[in-house]
Amino acid sequence: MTKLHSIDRAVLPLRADLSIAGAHCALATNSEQIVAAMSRWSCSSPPPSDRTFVLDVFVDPNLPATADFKTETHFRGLHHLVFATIGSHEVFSFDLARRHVAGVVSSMTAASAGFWISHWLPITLGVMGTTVGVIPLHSACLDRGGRGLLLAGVSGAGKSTLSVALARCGFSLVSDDWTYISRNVDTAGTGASRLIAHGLSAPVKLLPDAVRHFPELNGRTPKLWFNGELAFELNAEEICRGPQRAESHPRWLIFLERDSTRGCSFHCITAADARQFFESSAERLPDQLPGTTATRSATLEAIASCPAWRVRSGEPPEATAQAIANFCERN
Amino acid sequence: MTTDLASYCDPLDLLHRFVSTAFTISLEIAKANVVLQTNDLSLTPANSTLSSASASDTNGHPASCLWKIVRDVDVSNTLTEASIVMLGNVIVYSMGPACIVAADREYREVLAFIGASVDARAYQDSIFPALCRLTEFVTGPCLSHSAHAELSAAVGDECNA
Repeated sequence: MTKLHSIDRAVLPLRADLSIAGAHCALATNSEQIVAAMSRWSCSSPPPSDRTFVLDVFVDPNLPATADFKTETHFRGLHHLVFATIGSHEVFSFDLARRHVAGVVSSMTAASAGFWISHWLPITLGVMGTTVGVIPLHSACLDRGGRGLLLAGVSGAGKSTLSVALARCGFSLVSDDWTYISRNVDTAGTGASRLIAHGLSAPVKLLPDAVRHFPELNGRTPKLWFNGELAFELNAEEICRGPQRAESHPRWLIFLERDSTRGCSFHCITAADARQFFESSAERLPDQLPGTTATRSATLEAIASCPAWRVRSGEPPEATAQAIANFCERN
Repeated sequence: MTTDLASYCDPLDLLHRFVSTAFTISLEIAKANVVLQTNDLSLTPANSTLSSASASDTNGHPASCLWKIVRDVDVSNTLTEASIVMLGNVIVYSMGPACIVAADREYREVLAFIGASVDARAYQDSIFPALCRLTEFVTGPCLSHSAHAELSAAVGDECNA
């Protein structure tokens, strides 16, 4: 039988305003469980702005549950639309032009707080963030006294492992994988803007070889993630042995490179090189969203203006973290 | 002319937005001038005209609807039951990863990914009728309440809502 759902706000009586990484999400649903799951981001109702996107979620108790949403979720996109199917019947649409996300889920998905907190909200912000001026950056972020360290590098460079090691030597973890960057215009009216790096309190993801550095992972079982990668999913405060922070102000940019020789070296790099790295590693955006592309470029340029270094390390993460901590003390 | 399809992998395009659709074909569907962009000629209906047009029909008239239909060779799933989600100006029609179609009335577009396992018969019997009805939605007058039943009829089943 064909499942047909017409989603409009008349069938979604429950409302919540969420403040997520500098974006405003206007949520409507018919599920108290979804509202409860997202309550950690609740805020007073701000007026709609260019930071607002709408999220409409309809729960159909007749839909079959999806056994494993991580392996049964499928994403595709064309022009201004992105689609996600979860299992056989759960469907989401992300409309980047109208800043509107809508979907239909089963009761089981609605009841899974972990699905919303650790996975779907981060994914939604990853897809929609650029349209509301919140730029997803494939970097870790750590905070020390209100000053942020953005840790970038190619996949496999060891960002997450080093992030945990840094969190154990004086930094606080903001994010280990994706950081969301917004720009707040100075309210004093100077026209200047300030960068804010946000995390989402998502679990830390460590690859199986992290067992070499963190023996407490012995006995745990890595899980399959959306991208097909096998990794440990860890409570951030537990593995970092300290509190997580929601945001920081970028002060240092570190581009991490693994080196086969021992030692840890720091090489200053230009803003142009830093920007080139971010631009060349950013998701391609469709021509249908020219304003979004321009906003992202402006934000990446602002990030690249932070003092930046390439760090080549052949040391274990603990030693690399200590070297970076000492370096940041001096710079 | 043959269709040469290869697996697509671009780490900066995980959503497959930029899969090349090298073929452009003009069609008349549901009284609408449709320009179809695709990477697979087997997804074109019979009696259609191959052209080099990109935004107009073969007579130079503005197209009233764009179809962009991508053969998704990296998806081997089979078709599942259909799900239709209506969201104002947008309708999403899904039969699982093997068939995802979105129609946007304001943009006058029908956008689709069709998996590798969907053969010609399944496409003609199950998907093409839905594409035609979605084209009516995109190009026709305002959708009425009876549209639910009409869309359901497109796939020959009944609705649950």
